[in-house]
Amino acid sequence: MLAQQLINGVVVGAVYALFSLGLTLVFGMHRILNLAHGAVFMWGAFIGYFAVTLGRLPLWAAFIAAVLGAGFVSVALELCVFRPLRRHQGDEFGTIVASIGANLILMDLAQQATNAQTLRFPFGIFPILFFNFLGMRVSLQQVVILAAVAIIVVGLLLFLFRTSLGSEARAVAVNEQTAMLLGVNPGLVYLTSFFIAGMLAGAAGVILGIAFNSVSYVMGEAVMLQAFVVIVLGGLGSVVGAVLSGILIGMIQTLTTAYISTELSDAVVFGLLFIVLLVRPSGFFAGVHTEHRVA
Amino acid sequence: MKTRAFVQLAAGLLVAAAARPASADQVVIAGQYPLSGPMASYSGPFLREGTEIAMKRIDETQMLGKDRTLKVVMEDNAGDRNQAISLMNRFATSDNATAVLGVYGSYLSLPTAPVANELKVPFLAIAASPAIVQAGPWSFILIEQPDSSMKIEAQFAAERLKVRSAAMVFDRANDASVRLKDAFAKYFKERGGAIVSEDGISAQDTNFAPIATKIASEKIDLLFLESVPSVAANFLVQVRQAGLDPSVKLMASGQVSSPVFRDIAGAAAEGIYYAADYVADMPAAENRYFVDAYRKRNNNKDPDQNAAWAYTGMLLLAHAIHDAGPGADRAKVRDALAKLKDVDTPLGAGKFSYDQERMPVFDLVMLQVVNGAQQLVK
Repeated sequence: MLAQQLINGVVVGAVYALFSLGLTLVFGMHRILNLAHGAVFMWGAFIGYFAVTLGRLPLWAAFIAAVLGAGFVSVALELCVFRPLRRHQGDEFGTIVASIGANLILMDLAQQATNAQTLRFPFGIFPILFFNFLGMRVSLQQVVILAAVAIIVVGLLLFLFRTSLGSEARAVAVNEQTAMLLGVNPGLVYLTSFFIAGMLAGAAGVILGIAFNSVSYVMGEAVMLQAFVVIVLGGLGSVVGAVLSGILIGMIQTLTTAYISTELSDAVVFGLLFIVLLVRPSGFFAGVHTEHRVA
Repeated sequence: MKTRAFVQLAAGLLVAAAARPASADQVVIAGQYPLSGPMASYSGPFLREGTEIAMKRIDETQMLGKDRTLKVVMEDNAGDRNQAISLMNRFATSDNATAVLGVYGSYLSLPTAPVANELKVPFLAIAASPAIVQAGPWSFILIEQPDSSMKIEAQFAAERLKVRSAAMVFDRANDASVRLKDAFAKYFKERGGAIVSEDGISAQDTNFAPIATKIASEKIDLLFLESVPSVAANFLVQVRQAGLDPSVKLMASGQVSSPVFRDIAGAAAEGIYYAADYVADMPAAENRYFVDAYRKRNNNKDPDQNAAWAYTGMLLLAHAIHDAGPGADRAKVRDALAKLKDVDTPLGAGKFSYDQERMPVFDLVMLQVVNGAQQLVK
């Protein structure tokens, strides 16, 4: 059963990592702690759900619609909330409070749209297929989730470190004024990074919505809490750190639930966060993969 | 000047209208439900629906008595304890409510009951915990005791299904859920059964893979589930996906009689047994009226347990207000509520009473999901 539980943990951790990457990307580049990221994740799941049920789209098309849709929701946040605050020289605290407000608005809209109901993707939307090997039972869904997360993370790394727009984004992250002098358009970089963060959240939303058989307007809140632990453990702004710590958190949570107590799983995770903040405030992976940090 | 005089006159009229006391023949019942928040998905809208159908029924049949009209103040407590307490205060002091229905569940009702007793307003909690009644003479509960339903289920499991070992999953944050689980374990053990494992989950959880994997690997004859319908259904789907032996019997508390459970669980719910206090198919006259009215308002969908609870709660309060007589104060309504006997309601076999301890008494029914629909077990 241990191996089976480890697989469960890796799968859920990979999705936490996907979600956390968007959060850490925006924070690493722009020093914006976007507390509405969970709402973007939730809207990604809803867009995927409505694309399947109302739009009658196949799952792959609904997934793309959800990813793009969540990207645009995230861009809307940048244009309507964060950019006006920057123009008015808003400080970090104001930005955080504004993102809380945006989060509540997005959640209220979803609550109204769904009459507060928890929705489910239709049965059979994803083939229910299991592979039995070495005494383990791995579903096709788990395999696809891991593959999808791996492809998305590699794509993100390639974008950040192998494209000119990625270089410009990292230049803005290091020093916005200098980047502007070099001809970089910071406005475009902000839009790009928010769009990517939204897409990552949207992808995570659809994946978790299908895997856990649940899409609701409050689904972003619990994931946001896990994401804080992930990005602190991984080091703020670290892509590789977010992936590794996401998987680590997923495994710790799963093993605690299975072998110790369900009541203690969050306590163990947040206890770990407290210890890390005490002994290594910059995160476990902050120094190890500096080449893979966006700032 | 004319404009100013007009504004003064209008303001005066408004103030006078606002200050006017409620009509002497108008009775106010206040209801508060989780219409938003995490509990709303499986409770609030159904509770509101049941309340509104009951309002129509009470008006149509002049249940309160001739020349007495009903006013219902319905508010959203968002599943939040502080909000539930604030609303109870408001209902009793500002809205002048004769009685209060709802709050929903022991989690919200337990901290609200002492407030109702302090304010001396009859409070009919849609909850099962006896601690709500113990809070004082002004609080009542609507749902049968864990002992009654769990005794029936444990007996059925041991004697009819002949199962000997069980895994239990329950809502660890819900006082009533813990009581139900404990009661089932007690009666099951008394009949020679053994509890292999007990795992607490939360109504906010969605990832059940770790517990589902663990239970699927255990040697059990029975899986007992106690949680709200949407969560129990989601758990069942995940435990089936984790490879639960199809020969393992499934049993749950009556909460899963909600259509929400069968909608979400789909094929995973097949064969599950439960003792419920409500099933839409029951022939009792009050239930037939309720089901017809509900179907007309909801695209031919059957009502669930929550809608039936709210409907029943409203009827009980209406009967108590009627029995207390015209102009009765809250104390008289409370006394009349405690004396209710054999009231026609949609719950159980159709008759509802309170015993001397102000505990609800009505017959439960044993059900099973067969081909996606719930059937009475003979």
